[in-house]
Amino acid sequence: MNTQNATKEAVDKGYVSEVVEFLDETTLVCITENVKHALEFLKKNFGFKVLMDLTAVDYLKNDLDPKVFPEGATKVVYLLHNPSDMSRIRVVTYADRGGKLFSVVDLWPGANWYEREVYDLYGIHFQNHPNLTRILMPDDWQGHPLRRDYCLTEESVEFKNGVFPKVPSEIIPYVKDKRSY
Amino acid sequence: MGMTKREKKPFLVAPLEELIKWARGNSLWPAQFGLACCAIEMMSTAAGRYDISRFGMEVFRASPRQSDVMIVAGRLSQKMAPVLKMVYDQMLEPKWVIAMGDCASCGGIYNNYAIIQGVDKIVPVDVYISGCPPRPEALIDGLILLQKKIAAGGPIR
Amino acid sequence: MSKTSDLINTSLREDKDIMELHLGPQHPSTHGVLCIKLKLDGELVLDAEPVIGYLHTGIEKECETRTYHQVFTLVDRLDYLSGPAEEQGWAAAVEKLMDIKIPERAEVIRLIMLELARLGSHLLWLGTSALELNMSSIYMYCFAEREKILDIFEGVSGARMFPTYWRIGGLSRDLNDEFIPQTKDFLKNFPSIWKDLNNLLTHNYVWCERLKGIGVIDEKMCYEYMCTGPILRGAGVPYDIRKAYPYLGYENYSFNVPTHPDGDAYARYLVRLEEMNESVSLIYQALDKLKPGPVIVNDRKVTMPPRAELAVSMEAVIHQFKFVSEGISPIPGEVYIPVESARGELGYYVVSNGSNKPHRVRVRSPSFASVQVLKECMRGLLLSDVVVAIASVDPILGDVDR
Repeated sequence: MNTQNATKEAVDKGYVSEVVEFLDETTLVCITENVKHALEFLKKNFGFKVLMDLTAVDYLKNDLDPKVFPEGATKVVYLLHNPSDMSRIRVVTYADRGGKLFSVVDLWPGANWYEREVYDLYGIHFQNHPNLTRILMPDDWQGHPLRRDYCLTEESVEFKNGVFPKVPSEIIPYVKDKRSY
Repeated sequence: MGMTKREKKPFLVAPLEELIKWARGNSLWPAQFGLACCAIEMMSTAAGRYDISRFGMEVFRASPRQSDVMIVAGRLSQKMAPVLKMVYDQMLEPKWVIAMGDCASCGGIYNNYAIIQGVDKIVPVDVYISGCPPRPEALIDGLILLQKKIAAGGPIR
Repeated sequence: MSKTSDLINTSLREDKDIMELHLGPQHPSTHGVLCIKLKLDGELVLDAEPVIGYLHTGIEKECETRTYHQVFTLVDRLDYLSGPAEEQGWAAAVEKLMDIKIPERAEVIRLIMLELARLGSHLLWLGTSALELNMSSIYMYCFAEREKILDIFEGVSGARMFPTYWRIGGLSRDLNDEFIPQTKDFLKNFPSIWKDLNNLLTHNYVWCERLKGIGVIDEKMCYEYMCTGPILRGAGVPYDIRKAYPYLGYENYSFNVPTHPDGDAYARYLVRLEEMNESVSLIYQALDKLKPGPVIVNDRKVTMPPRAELAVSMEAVIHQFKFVSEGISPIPGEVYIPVESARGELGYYVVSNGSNKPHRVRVRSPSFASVQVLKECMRGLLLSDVVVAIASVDPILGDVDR
């Protein structure tokens, strides 16, 4: 109930460009300039006091609609939680790969490390972040590992008796499902 | 000292060498380097049921300068590798290394950018113990193998 | 706490010698490879900065290159003290995407394994925390009990710590014959051990002096820093995912959510001690509800056919072939499933794109938030209290660094 009210209000205010309902989870899609206003609006007016998770998903050129995202995008996901009535809502934004976003550390101080992790693994810069440095990889690492075009860097496994060395992740190949939805 | 090319052991001090090797093998002090899941099985080995105190090894020293054997238990990531080398260098001779578990021996189930495929790329390993995680009995088996290796080892420096 | 903040203010004003000490990654009492950069004035901590990343394994990236069934082994080893909780999160997320309802017997068995894992994790926490305060007999008692739980896991699935017993759609095989007698035996002896631990520790002068008032994390700090689990319950908020977003039939069981208003290390200790009792009562209720039936759903598109069927049916052979060589393909979409692990809210955010390998697997680990909040709660403590503060938030670095 709270989620639906919040969704309606946020759409009315113009922060949200699209609402996705999938398997009874509500996702609000915003553009990158509006996402911090949307989060602040939800936090102050609808009691979504806790930011449960801040993460990102990377898409290459062919994974998304090429007319809308010709270079692919990195989707930054914010999951909000309301502790008084246990409602949840997800706010996403499609940023450019290696793009810039506003940091939400002033709304939730705990988002500090989550944003550092997204910077480390995906390369998204957060403006006004107090200390945007690498957190999981060594400080002088080049590249952002969780991007889809960063290779897994496997050592190929040699088998006995002259069997061709195999790369473990290719043993079961990637199969795009041919059903249409 | 009575040592010719044909004799392997020095003539006068041979029984003393045996004594020293026996003493070293039966009082190994591990430097704990428990990184991940294998560390939990190492802790279980030190607990009541699979007691490594009967082998003289219950004293897990925190400081590498007071220990003989380093049990690398767990997966070694890129950021931790220099720390491992530093701790190994701080240990005093004679020292041994046990690679406990699959991740320390060969990278284990992880074959990617973040895990070093085997601790022996950084430090020389004496005993490899396989398992994910190895049972406490497997760790004790590896320790007994190390004791045999020490007993059969070369002349005392 | 005003006395310690006065101490901090005086020491900063008088420009004393500030020593920077790394309670480094290799240390017996940091519960894994956590590095804390301390700024010390004598023994008083002026500032503490946790540094993580020493166990980063790239599990999330590795999950993108494996099929949905192969991910079970990878994900087990994240929170390596309670492997079943991670498996439950992953299985529940994929089952929600594929709209599968698992059979009732599988739900009950999963619940029993989850509660046993929670008991094992709390026992290990208590053992290692006491060991750090040099009470090593508690360590021996707790580990002796934990060995019995690991024996039960080994009897059911073959492995002590990482059972890999969950499958998408249920469980890999039914219980063995000794499971119910072993579990009942363990539960019969556990209350006396619990009473021993309670009598040894709860009103122990040394334990109370070392734990009371240390590492205070109040409700506001919990909401700002996303802490959940015993930390939030130790601050007085009765938030438990088993009550808020019930799964596996938790709404049909009766159990309490223990809380304590103080928010310090002693409160978290009391909360975890009570949770062990609640787990025992839940397992008793679950054992009563156990009825005979299938343990895995009968859909050939999702699970492997039983081996006996392969001899008689060509379709079963084809299904098994497709299953092993290609795997399953859920519909494209994203889903987030929370699970109550021993440390707090363990969330699985799975994005699928219609192929046989997941597009993104994100594990929202409870320990990531707990380690971040250490920076706030360690100011003004003495050096020996730092150890107690780290132990009381119970971080597991496999979960933090993934």
